[in-house]
Amino acid sequence: MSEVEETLNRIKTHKGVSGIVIVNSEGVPMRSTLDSKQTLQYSALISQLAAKARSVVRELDPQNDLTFLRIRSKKHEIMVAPDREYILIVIQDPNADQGS
Amino acid sequence: MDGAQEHPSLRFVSESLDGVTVRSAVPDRPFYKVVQDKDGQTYAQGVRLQTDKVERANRRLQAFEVKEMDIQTEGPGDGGAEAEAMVDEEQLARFLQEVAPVMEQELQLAWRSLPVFDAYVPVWDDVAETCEMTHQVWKEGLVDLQVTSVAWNSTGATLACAFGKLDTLGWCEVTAPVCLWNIFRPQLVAGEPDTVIQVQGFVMCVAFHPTKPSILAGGTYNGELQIWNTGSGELDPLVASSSIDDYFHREAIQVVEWIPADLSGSHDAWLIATVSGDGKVLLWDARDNDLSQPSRGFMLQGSKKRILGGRSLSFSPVDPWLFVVGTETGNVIRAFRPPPGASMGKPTGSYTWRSSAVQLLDQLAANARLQLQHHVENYCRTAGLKEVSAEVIFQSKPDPAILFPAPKTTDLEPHYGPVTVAAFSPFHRKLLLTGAADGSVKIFDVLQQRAIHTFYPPCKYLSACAVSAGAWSSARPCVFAVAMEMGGVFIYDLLQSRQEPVLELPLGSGRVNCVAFNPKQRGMLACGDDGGRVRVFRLPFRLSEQQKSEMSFISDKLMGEKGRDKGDKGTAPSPPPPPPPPPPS
Repeated sequence: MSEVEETLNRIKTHKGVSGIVIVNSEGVPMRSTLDSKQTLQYSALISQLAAKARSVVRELDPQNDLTFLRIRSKKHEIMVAPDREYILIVIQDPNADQGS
Repeated sequence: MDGAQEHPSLRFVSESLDGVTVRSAVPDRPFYKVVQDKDGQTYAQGVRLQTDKVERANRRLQAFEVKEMDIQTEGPGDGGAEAEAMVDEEQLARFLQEVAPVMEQELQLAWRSLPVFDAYVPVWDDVAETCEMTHQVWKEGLVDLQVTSVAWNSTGATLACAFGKLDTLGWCEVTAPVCLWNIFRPQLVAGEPDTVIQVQGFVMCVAFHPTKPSILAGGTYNGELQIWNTGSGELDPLVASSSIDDYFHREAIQVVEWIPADLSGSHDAWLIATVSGDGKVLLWDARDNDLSQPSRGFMLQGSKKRILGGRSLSFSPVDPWLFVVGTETGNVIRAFRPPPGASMGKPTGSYTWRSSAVQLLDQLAANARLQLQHHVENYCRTAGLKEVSAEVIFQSKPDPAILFPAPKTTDLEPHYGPVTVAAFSPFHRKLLLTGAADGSVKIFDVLQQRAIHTFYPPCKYLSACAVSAGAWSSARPCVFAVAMEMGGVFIYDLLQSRQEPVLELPLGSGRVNCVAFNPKQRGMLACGDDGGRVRVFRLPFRLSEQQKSEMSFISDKLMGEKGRDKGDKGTAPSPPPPPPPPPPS
């Protein structure tokens, strides 16, 4: 198993993780555990949001930069780790464990 | 023409033409006038010339071939697979190495901090904080009639309203209408209902079919159950009507309720349950629009075989075998109708029992079954019948006590006056609301005998404190409305206060006889009053939007306080509720 797979598997074992997507800086998905439609939606929309969030942070203080983004919604929590080349998106579902 | 070899000069042909005469068009009288200029020269002024008439022609062109073409860009996904292949593994691994620890840390943090914002709900839309009346309808030309019952249909768009005289004694000859308004129509005329159904002997209670928006059932003061179809467009919407007999209702039907025929069966099989002052709870199978006899019945009996007149009725929305009847004497009776057991088979003998008749037999206990069988067979012998159908059983006039057994019952904590309201919560399977003419409103955990809470809605005089109607909100599990007979409608929110109402509807004067929450438009409450008016109120946002903690509040706090079943949550976070436990046999 490659190092990439290994890391992704480790993240997957965390509580409530229901999906992982890696997107490059152009918004093209690289890896995903979601179905293709959702992958495209997440990668396109979240990368736009991450770019916007980063520009907001830097606008407020040019010395500052965005390091992490957490979006809480009714259904899940979306975690975004941005980087120069790629963005890692993890979807955490707080109700995932209660169902079982 | 063979022009290539021809010499160019050959193309010219010499020709002579006659001279052309040009006639002068100048008429006798000169059109012009000679004008002399300053320097002595003369000019002709006012010369008129006429050109030939200009010919015009209209031509129309029409292209008669049209071509259409659709263009669709490729789905963005088509390029994705390709890109995925171009991943630079090494670079990706480096990225993950950097990001993964942060992500893992955040994931753990997030899981721990999840409940932090539980109580926070953003409000995105403008919310109404006030309670206001949105509609008011009545029927023009009605004198001295009160609203006896209101009901919303399944889509929440139509409001049905029954009129009648609540102070009628004895046999009723009054004809009063049931009126329907399509209430959200912009061209609504408040005094003119969209549909008017005239009913001999007025209607006490109405209920719309749970799924078909145009089917309405009503029970009359004289004891008939009627079904109308208002969507058929026919002059008389009456579909079916029961008759008045010892085996049916002899007194005014107090409640009509649609209940699922069985939970496992098809979703559109519904029974109608009715209760009346003669102590009968009857179930009617209206699938074939046949109300000639009930499919099942129960007689409510107190101690010493006293008949208890039913005043209110509610079937559990999740467990159709469980129901609660409020009586005229203040009892609150929890009852089970045994689910249809295994069929004992057709009775053998010289008579052919039809399946409709066998169904009736199967509901009875063994000895009652034998008694009824003998009775019917005796009747058939004298009447010379060979076949036994359900009609024959009713014709044979058996003892009503055999045909309608007493259900298995348990008495809950009683009221001290006629129980006018009994209503199961649409959200929680154990929550029951009752209200009575003694002025009290009780909340029961239906599995416990004692009420969880008893409320006394505020009233001006102690002698005028009777509760006339009540209803659970269809949007918020902790909210219910209580109407007082002498005026006033109070809204309770158990989440906010377990003693006091949180709101009184701005009604002004008028006694309210009935209330009904709209099933679709949350927070819409219709109130029918003594003056023949129905007013629709919109409750404030906070009383019509379900709160996050509401269901757990009911199961943990409200039910849990009594302690007995702390472990049993007995609830789902949202409808539909979990399947009920098998009813006790």
